[in-house]
Amino acid sequence: MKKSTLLIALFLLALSGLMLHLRIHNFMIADKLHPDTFLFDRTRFLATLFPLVDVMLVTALFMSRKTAVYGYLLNGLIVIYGTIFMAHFSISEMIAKSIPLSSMLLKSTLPDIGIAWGDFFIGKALYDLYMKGTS
Amino acid sequence: MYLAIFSGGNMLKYFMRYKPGWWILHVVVIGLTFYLGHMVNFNF
Repeated sequence: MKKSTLLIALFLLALSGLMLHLRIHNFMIADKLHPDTFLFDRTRFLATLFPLVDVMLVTALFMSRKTAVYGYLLNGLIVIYGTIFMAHFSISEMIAKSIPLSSMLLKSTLPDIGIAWGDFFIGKALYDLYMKGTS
Repeated sequence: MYLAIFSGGNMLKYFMRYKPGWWILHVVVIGLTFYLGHMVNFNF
């Protein structure tokens, strides 16, 4: 498989993740008392910052064989943080909204965590291709 | 290997098994994890 194909897949997954985070929970939220004013949410900004690093830095690092190892490391780090935070978010939401445990499979962020791990394994395939010539 | 941590003379040998960057990265990431865990706040 060509490196550029995997790199494009990695970039598109990261970019889609960033756009989804921005659409689902933008970090500038309208104040409940004053809807005209927007407040900065640090937690939601974090959910934008990590995919942004994934899009810009991880893609850039994966462009060269020399820096691919750091891209692989950072990609793994972001996916692990994403897994922890999305799981935390889901568990908090389930408790706050009293959503039954049976809905955990489809209504939680479990599918999103799966997509994040897909991103990690594309990164792994690209790293292996750089290092060993196989994916 | 595990016991090497507790036998004083071999402490340095144990730490030198990994490059300093490996240790720095782990300490930074563990610290960052604690900080992020402290700062996140979900509002529903």
